[in-house]
Amino acid sequence: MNTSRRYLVNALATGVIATVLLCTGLFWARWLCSFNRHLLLPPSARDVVIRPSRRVATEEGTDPNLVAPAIVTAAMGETQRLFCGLGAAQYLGSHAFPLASDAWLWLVRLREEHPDKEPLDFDPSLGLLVYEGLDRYLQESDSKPAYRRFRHYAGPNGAGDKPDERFGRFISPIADPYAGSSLLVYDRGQKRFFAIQWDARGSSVRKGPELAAADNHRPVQIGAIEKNFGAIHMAVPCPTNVEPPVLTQYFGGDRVLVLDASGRIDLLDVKTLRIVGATGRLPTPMSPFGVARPVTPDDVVAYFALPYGVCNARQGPEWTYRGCAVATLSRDMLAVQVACFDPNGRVIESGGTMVSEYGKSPSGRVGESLRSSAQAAYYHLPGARALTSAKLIVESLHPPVLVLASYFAGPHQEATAGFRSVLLLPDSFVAMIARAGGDVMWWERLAWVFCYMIPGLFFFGFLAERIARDAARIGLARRTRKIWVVWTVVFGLPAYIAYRVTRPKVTLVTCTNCGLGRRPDMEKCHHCGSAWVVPELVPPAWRVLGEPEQAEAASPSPAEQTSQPTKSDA
Amino acid sequence: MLTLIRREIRDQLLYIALPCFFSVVMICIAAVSSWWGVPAPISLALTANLMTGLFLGLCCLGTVQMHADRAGRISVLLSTLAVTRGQIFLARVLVGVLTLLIAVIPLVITALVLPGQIIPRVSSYHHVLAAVSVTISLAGFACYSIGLLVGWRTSRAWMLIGSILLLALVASLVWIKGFGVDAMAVLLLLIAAALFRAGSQFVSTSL
Repeated sequence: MNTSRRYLVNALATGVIATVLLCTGLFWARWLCSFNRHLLLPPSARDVVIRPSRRVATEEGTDPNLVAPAIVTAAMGETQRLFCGLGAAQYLGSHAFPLASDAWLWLVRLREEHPDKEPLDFDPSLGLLVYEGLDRYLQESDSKPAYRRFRHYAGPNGAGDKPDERFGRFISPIADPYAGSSLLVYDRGQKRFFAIQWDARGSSVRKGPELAAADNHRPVQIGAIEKNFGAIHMAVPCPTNVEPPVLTQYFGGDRVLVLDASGRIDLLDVKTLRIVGATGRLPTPMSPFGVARPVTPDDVVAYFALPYGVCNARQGPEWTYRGCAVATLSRDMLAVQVACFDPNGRVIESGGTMVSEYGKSPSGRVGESLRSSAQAAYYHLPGARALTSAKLIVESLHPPVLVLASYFAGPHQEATAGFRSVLLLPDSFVAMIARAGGDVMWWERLAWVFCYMIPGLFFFGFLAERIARDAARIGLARRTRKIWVVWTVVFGLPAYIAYRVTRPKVTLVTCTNCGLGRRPDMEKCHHCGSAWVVPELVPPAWRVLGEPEQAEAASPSPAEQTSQPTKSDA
Repeated sequence: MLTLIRREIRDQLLYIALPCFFSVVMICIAAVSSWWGVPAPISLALTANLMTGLFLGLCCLGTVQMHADRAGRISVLLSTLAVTRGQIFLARVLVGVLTLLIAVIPLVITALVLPGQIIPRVSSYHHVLAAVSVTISLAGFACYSIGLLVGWRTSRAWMLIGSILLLALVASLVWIKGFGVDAMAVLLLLIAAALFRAGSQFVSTSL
């Protein structure tokens, strides 16, 4: 490897080390900002209450028409767990129960408390769902009930106690992890629903019709529509002092909620295994910039959907589906939005978390005003502006090319990815602009992005100018100087660090021509181009003869001095 | 090469034993927890904390190898023999790899024998165990490489502050990114860059 190539690779290696370590340090600074901002929210801004039935609070808490629940509450839950449980915890969580994805903590706890819980698993090598159940039977000796374990396998075409090729293979199934012995499965490969009945005496599989390609259905969750269970709580309180029929949480077995990848919530008819229509969608939490796009399951940190219906206990366990309530938690965990839908998917009532402020409103009116909790946490609560400025500074120190990449990649990254993203910034201001809704042209967005990047670009421009000066002083080639300047503007601090660490260590000497420092290892001065002035070592043809030399010539040599007395002696 | 490795092991025996000591402590905790029926979260928390000790030990080994060379001018002496500086560096890195393997392999075996004591018992346990082992090994080796990089400094203050700071950053990468492919890719990149930089520094510094 020649010197210039070695220098290049050395600079690249240093740049990589600086990028990774600097981005890791900046990650922790951003994390600290987000965590402290989350703590700014007062308890009153962490929950929201809506009254879909629009009844006066003093009346009895039920809707006489049994159309909508009297009250729906939603609140932030154990959100600090998400802050502390970063990638390592998330990885182990997602493998604790793959079909349930993020609900792992609750499931692990449940399993530890109830070791006899019947587990469901998917064996990708067999392409079969595996169920371990408990069979209740009466003992022959004393006729007392006892339990024995059984394990069954189910594929799209059948089920049995041993894996069999006749069962077929599920390609990419999703299932309700809490379903128990009656399981609903959607296979993304075959695009159809299946109903599996687990039974020790013989499990069975029922196949639904294939979903039409034109319907554009992409189910991602069945039954329990939830993400990051525990991070968001929602309740549809049911009055206990009223006679049935009563509107309460829906436990009917004929309708099941199905969440689509677009954020729409569909209703599945369990008997026919067909989707009968849309019954709601994930509500969009307020963003710090105001308007946001309709959210998908990946855009929010947590969501929870609760179906409700009318239970007529007098007529047996008969249920009538009336709609669903859905709550979401924003990706910065600063806002909760809840909405109540009727059976046809129309919004009855919705609301979000608010912060109440007492003061003068922009219109001049003095009194209490309500602000979105996300906006308040960024701009209005005590200490919020300091944290926002700190966030802006930290993001400005990030390599500009990665900040710009976050603009393009941010909207496509999962909401919790921001908690473990070191190089890209899915929760940055720039990514927020990319995700913001409203009728904004692409170039307007890009202009806003550059506005947010201006502090960083100025800073890196200053560093690039310093590098250009220093490189010129130590005599780096013009092309090398240009490369370093461009790198510093594009990659920011890591490029600057790489330059400082790998720059040639030379001691300059003064040029006799221009008086500036020049490198001793170069033929010509890199400032004025003058060559080295080398004195010629030719002996002069003349000689100065001074007085002492004449005296010296006149005076006898020591040898003569010593010989003279000898002569006189003689 | 074998002679160089042997010499390196003999010189840094104490620092080679340090990561192995943490590994042994983790194995003991897992065994004792399993024997006495201590709840898994307690042994898991202890293991996670001791993992930091393992990283620290590996970083110390790298730092001391380079610092001892610089302070004692070992490579100057060795260069008078029929050995290149590249070979000396390679022998040093191989000792680091050997130490890492000695520390990690018994842990993996223990995790296989006592599932749920070192890594949480999850579905597809072997797959998770493989991913966790590889990531931990890469993180450990990254810490070692950073140690090699920092140890070449002459200033002791920078060496101490630098190793602690950089070790914290590298170790926290595992906590941030988890045990997936992206974490492995970042760690591999970091290892390659740090080794190249350390090797280049070592080889090109005048004797």
